[in-house]
Amino acid sequence: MKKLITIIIVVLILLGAVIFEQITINNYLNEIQDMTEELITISTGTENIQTDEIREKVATLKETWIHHEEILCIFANHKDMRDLCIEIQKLEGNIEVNQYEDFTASLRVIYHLADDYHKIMGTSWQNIF
Amino acid sequence: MLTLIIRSLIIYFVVLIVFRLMGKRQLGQMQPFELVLTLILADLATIPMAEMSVPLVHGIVPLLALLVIHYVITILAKHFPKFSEVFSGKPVIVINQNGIDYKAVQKLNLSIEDIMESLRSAGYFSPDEVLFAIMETNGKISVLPKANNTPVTRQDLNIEGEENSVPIAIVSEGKLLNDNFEQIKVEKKQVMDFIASLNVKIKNILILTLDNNGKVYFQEMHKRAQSMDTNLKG
Repeated sequence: MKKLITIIIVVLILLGAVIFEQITINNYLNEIQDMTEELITISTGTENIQTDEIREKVATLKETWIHHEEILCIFANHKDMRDLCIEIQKLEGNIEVNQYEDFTASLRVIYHLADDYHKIMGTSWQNIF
Repeated sequence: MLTLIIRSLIIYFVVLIVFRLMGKRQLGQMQPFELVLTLILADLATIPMAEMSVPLVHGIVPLLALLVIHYVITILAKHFPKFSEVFSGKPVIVINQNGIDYKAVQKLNLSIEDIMESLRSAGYFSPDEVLFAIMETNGKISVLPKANNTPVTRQDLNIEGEENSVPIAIVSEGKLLNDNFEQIKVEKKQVMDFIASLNVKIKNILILTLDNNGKVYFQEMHKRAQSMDTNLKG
C-alpha cells in the first residue's frame, strides 16, 4: 500500500512537470516569439533602427527574457538558452551602431531558437522516433 | 565544481530511492525486464551528472517514468501469468528422467557446457546425480537430485531436533542495539544482568549475540570468542 501511494505521488509529480512544461514554458517562449515577431514587423523596411519605439520594445524583450530565464533553464537545455540569451543581448548593441542587417538577423535567430524548443521538445511523431 | 557535486548527490539519491522502490529482487535475481531497466537507469543517471548543460530534470523525469513503468509491469506480471510469460519467459526443464533435454537447451540458446557449469555451481558435478534441472526465468538453475544423491536429513534418521533460532546481535562494536530486544523476546533487564555477570563493560564487547534457545555467542575486543548456553530463552 505504501509503495502504491509512493508510485501515485511519482505519477502526480510527473504529470505536474508535464503540465507545467506544456503551459508555462510554452507560454514563456511564445511570449518571446510574439515580441520578436513584432520587432521584425516594426523594423522591416526601416533603415533607421534607432527609434524610441524599437529601443522600448527591445528593452521589454530583454526584461521579459531575464524574468523567464531561470525557469526556462530548469526545463530546457542550457546551451540553447545561452544562444538565445546572447542574441537578445546583441540587439541593444546593434541599435547603438544602427546595424540594421545584424539587428534583423539576431531577431530571426531569436525567433527560430524559441521555435526550435517547440520543435525539439514538443510531443510529435518525429520527436518520438 | 560545487554545482557538479550537488547535482551528483541529487542524482545519487534519486537513483537510490528508485532502486529501493523497485524492491530487493533488483539486486539478486533479475528478470529480463528488470535487467533492461537497470542498464538504462545507470546510463540515464550519468548524463545530467556529467553534462552541466543538461538540466537535472532531463535525468530525473525519465528515471521516475521508468520507475512507474516497472511498477506497472510488475503488477501486470503478478496478476496475468500470460503477461509474465511474455516479459520474463517461463521456467524450462533442461534435465529430466531421460537425461539432458537437448531441444530445450538449444531453445534457450545455451550449450551443454553452460548447463554443466550451472550444475556445478549448484553442487552437482555429474548430470547422473540429477533427476530434474529447471532453468528459471532469472537464469539460475534449480536442481532436484536423485534420491541416492539427496543429503540425509534428521527426519530420515528419525532424530528429534530442537528448532534452530536466528542469533540476534545485542551488542556490536561496543554499542548496545536496543532495537533488537523486541526480536529476542527476553526482558532487557535480564540481558543486562547477564552482561554484568560477564564482568565486561559494554564498550569492550566486540559482539554478543543471543538466540531464542538461550545460546550466547560472545567476544570481547582483542580476545577469543566463546559461546555458552544460558537461561535467556525467548
